[in-house]
Amino acid sequence: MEVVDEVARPARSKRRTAAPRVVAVPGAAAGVARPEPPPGPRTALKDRHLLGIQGLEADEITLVLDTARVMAEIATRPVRKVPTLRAKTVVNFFMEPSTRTRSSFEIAEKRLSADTLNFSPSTSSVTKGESLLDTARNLEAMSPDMIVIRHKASGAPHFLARHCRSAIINAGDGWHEHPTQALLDAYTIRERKGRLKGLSVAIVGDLMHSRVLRSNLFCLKTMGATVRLCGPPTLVPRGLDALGAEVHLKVESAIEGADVVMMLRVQRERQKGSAFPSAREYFNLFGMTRERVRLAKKDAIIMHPGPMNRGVEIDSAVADGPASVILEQVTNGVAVRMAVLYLLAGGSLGELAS
Amino acid sequence: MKGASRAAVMDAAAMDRVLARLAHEILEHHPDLGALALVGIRTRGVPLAERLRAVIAAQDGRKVPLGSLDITLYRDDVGAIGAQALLRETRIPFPIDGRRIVLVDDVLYTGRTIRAALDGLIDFGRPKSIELAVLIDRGHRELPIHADYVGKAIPTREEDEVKVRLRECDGEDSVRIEAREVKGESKAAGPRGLARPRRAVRSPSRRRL
Repeated sequence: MEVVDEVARPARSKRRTAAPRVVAVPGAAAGVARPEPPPGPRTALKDRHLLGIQGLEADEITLVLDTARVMAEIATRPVRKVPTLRAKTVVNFFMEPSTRTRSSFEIAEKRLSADTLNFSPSTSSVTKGESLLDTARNLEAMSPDMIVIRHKASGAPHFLARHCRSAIINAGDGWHEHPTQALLDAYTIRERKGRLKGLSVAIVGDLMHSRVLRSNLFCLKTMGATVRLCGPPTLVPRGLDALGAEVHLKVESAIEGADVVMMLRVQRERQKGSAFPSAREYFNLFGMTRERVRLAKKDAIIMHPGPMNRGVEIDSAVADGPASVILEQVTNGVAVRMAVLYLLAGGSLGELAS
Repeated sequence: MKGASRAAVMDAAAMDRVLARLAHEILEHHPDLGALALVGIRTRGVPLAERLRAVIAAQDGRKVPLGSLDITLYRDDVGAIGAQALLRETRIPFPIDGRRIVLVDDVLYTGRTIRAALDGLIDFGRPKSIELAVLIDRGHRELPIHADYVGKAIPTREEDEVKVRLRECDGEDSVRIEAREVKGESKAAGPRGLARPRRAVRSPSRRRL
């Protein structure tokens, strides 16, 4: 265990110099350090929050994926519920529209018997002009055990982590990270391919605005996969190669020989002006068609975090084709989120009890 | 003192004899093996259940269904333990409705594991009956739970640790009692027997307002 840490660290510190960590949680981190785990396989996450993939060790990601596998079995039982988080309160604080992620979290919470409370823009006071800090303090006053937050501002979960005693789970913050999506993608790939190490993963689409990309990049690199990226030059941010990815300008060269092809949604709502002339042109240059998929390995899988723009980034024939695992991703999302809730509850609830 | 506090309870040969007897007791209670199924509780209940099944198969020629149950998600102390136990797979590859289930575990102590296992098992259906087979009953029950088949009942002190090692997971078959280090005065009162001494009921300390 110690040895693994030693090996993993130099690689990560290199990455840190390239992109300084956004995470700095002095208030929340003080006094909540967990006792050093006993030697042996890792049984707990180091941090009591899940704010991003950046900073997670490979064995922590493996722990989440292994735990998710056990959680997936629960869905096959006659009673699809375990009493593990009974009487724990989880707030789903979603300040951006979301169907998949929120319902996925909600099902995960219910399968673990947690009490859930949903906050969304239409029902919360934020539309009445309340600041995030005030909302956070009010949430905190109801002493939930965990807060799942989705926010349009990058860093909002980290802000909450500084001001709340609850464990914070990032369900997507601005352009920054969407850690549970990356974990469920890694889980889906691992279940299909049996491993992550050494795989070649092509990610195509709007690289600029994608938190899914950033989390996936950190996750896949930490787990030893090769990541190739491709998108319209207007939507390729600088510095991606410094994070360890290969950036391709032509979609064909990115996909060629890939084990996994992951499409990203064209996020029209985040783009200022227009990054490309038309949806039709985008589809012609970057859209995932059957002809392009043939360039990847024969057994390659096609992924998409949803929601899909059919006919823009992906052709229906590919989205509904035999190689597509898009709906599997949704199913696996519940198991992975159960794993994250369970692992974070273990430490933080003990801490709250003392 | 320390040497005297460690005692070997069972070696490999003794364990084989005990398991053979347990298997025969189970057979005696279930002459019709059709409804019987064994479910081992992770971790060490699973190899024990496998061995019981092998003895039953050698005697009767039939292999009874075998399942494994991880009770971590049903514990009553999630979060109280800092770093939790690693979750392991639960596999019950047969419908349990109407079956006569024998749960198998290595050590019966407070009874809380069995309580959790009952909850977990019942989420899979409605068995006709559930019985319990354990290799060691060490006493100190905290719940009204008893074993139907007991390999060996041994008197222990609460601070003792009963270490069961199995060749499938630990490389050897043995059962030993080890005294945990107790700070302060030596508790050399000797075995207190199976009945757990009642603790005085403490009134909750008043918090100052």
